Amino acid sequence: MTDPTTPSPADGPSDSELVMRWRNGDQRAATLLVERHAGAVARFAASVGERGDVDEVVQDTFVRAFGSLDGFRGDSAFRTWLFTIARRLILDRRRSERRRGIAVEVDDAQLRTEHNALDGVVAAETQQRLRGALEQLTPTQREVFTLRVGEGMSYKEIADTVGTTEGAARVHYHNAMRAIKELLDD
Amino acid sequence: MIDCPNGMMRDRLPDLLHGRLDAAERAEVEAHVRGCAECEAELALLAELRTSLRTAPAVNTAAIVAALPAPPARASIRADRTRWSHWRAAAAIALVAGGTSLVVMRSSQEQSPVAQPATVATAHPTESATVVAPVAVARPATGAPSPVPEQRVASSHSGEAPTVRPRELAVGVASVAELSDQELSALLSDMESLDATPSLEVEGGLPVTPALPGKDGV
Repeated sequence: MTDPTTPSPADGPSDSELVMRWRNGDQRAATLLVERHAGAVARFAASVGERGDVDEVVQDTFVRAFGSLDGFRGDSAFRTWLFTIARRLILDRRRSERRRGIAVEVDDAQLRTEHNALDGVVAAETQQRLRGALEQLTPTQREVFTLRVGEGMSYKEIADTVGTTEGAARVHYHNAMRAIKELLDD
Repeated sequence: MIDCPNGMMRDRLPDLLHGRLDAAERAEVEAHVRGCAECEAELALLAELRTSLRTAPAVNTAAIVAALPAPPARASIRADRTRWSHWRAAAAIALVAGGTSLVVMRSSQEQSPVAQPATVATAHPTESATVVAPVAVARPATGAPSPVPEQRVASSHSGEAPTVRPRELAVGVASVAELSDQELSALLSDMESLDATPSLEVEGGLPVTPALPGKDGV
């Protein structure tokens, strides 16, 4: 099985090579890594219901990542590692909001409004229905489903990102798929 | 929507969608999809869901890059360059102290006819170094007011301690080794205060028998 998060030689240097270059002082390598993965991190943040400044979450993710790049051992894909950091950041933000008494449960109506704004770009009824179905998933199901279908991650990578097992990730994915099909069949 | 009973094949549909399968696996799954209406429908649904999930706000990658910390090697290079300048200065002092040399040091802050950074020239043309040093002076006090506090330095050639006027040293000596211990110590102390100048240690084995500056006609 190939790993889409590691580009082929035709796509340029691999993430591991860019990380090594950056460690050796090549700032351009950091630019390439950001350009390669920032969009995916933003999609992930938006898909798990980050209502705040997605741009800020993405920036904080990369700042933390590059600040602790010595801790990146290459055991997982670089993007998986970024998602793990982003996930922790989002959870920290939610805990902080909870302490400040800010409702952290995603308001379905508000989320639909936000997604409808995005749907203005797509402008397809089918897409709206799909988004509505995704919104009905539990947070964990939506997170796993997003990583599996949106980013093409393996169950192992998903397990590493969300802190669960491969088996549990597989169960969450299939439960999400079943829920979506039932919602669309309604 | 009815699910295909082949769970293993259904599990691989997202991998097929993202091109994660090798040639053999891809051929196997594609062959199954062609013959399974349920998997064909699920694959189409997954493709549409993927489109939905990949809609995200644009990010400012330039701002992200600007916020990143500097690569570790760059900080290391700066530290290495600083250390290298330290070693050059230390090597220069060691060479001057151990060899025949002419030392002319002037302060850039004094209103002397020549206000230049201090330089140390050695008799070894292949080994030279430039040391910028507002340094102590081993020179009899002239009585003129000095903007810089003076310090008294003992001389090995007289019973009294001549006044050392910092920030000016015009020494025409055959060797820095002719400086007194106190004069050399004052020189090194002043050099320690320079930017990127380390604490220098003169090797204990090098003879240091300084003479008063100016004794030889400078």
